[in-house]
Amino acid sequence: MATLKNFIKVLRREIILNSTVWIYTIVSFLSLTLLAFIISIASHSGQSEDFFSFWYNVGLIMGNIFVSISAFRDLRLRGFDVIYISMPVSTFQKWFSVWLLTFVGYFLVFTAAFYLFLLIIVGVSAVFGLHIGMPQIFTPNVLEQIKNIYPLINALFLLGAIVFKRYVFLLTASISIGIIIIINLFFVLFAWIYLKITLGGITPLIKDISSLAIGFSDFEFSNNPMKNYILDFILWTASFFKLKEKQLK
Amino acid sequence: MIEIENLTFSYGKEPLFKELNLNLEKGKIYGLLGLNGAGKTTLLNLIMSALFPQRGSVKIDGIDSRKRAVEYLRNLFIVPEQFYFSAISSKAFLMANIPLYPYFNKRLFESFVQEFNLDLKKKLNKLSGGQGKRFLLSFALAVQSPILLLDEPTNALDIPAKRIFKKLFLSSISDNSLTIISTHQVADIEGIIDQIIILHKGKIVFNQPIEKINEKLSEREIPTNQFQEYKERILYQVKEFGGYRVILKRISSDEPAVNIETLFNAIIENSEVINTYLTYNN
Repeated sequence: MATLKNFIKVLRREIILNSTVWIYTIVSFLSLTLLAFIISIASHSGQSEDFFSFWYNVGLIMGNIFVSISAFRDLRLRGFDVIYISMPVSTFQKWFSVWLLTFVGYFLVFTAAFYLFLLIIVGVSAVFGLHIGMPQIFTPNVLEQIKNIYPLINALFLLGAIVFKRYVFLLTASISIGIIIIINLFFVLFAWIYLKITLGGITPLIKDISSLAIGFSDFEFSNNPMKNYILDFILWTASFFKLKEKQLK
Repeated sequence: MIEIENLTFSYGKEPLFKELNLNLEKGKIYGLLGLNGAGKTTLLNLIMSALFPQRGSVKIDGIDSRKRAVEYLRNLFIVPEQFYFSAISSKAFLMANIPLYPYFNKRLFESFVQEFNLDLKKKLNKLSGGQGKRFLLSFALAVQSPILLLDEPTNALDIPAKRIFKKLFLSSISDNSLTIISTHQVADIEGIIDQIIILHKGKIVFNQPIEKINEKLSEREIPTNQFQEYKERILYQVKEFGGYRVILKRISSDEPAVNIETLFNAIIENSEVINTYLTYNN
């Protein structure tokens, strides 16, 4: 019971201290969507079927980056880093409250805000004689992104928010890209050595390039949700342990 | 209450602390002194579990700091030497943080805010260094945590604010709490602390109660021609214009008490003489 009470207290703290960032983020993306909508009407280009689902997706994914890199802000504030670490709640409660808010909370709040925004758009458009039906947000493409990209973005940038003292976005993004390049190079090198040994040279490699591509597509995380979830889980776990072991050196 | 055993800690190859031992009891106010880089802030961070010992342990009532257990953390609050507030209102800061500290005394906080003449309408990141310090000191004292660590609490405070801090601090500290004040400004803690701890070259070179210091030691300025007269009683001497400033073995209660600053200089120069005298002359 005491644990639950403590968790609610720390969750409340996170909501209060991060509400401004959330409001700015959500309002910015809704404004951007509105601007794009107005431009599309003004230019008579008309909206494609997935116009709103595209902007919803942008707001959800990009917004989550903003929300995640702003998390654990006290760890990056001189003096408040020690106060945050010594806050009388367990490390798991600290981590879980941030995870719950940035991963689940942001999804729910942004989706609700977007639906409200759409209702207003549909209503206002009707007033001006422009009849657009309630747009479908959760298209198969968006659902795919929510399944694969949204958790990965959250897991990656939450880890970055704990690890880096500043330039969280820049460092997390560049290190992630660097790692992806290294892994890809490693696979190419591995494939080259493998084919050289088994097939006897580079010529069969070129000949067999289509089968190689098919074989290695298994390694692509984005095509395999299970591997994606494992990666998300690893990154979230790493962020928890990083927070648990965080020292002010 | 706080037990530090065989603590070894380093930032690089050279250890800052090597097998350091220290026991701190509740009901006392400790003044933690040391030269720049002696490791005062590091020691406070180790107690706060913001740093982990490489060897040895820091415990509060038997709970190890490495665990960062709630039972450990709920005893503590720190006012760091330097800090930056995020861009939030004081109202939001209080709403977010007060519920986490079970002993927080709101009435006390309001009276401190009044005494310090704080403007709570401003966003916290817009406060000046001194105002920010006053705000956090007010919050820290109102937290009423069993262990309070103050790292250079009077830095950035103006002279009237230092006086108010002393008054508020003494009025808010309970008999069962433990406070460590780490400072360079020894004059600011005179009359507040119960015990002096001096950290030097990775070791606790001095750890004595003020009561004993005042009972056993006195300080004087003596002209050069009177030096021989006091020679037998002198534990520390420093040449000054026209004579010497000396720490003496106290023989009468009429003699002036020793100044913490002079004592600090004496200990840094040679801790053995005064320590031996205080230990073996009960």
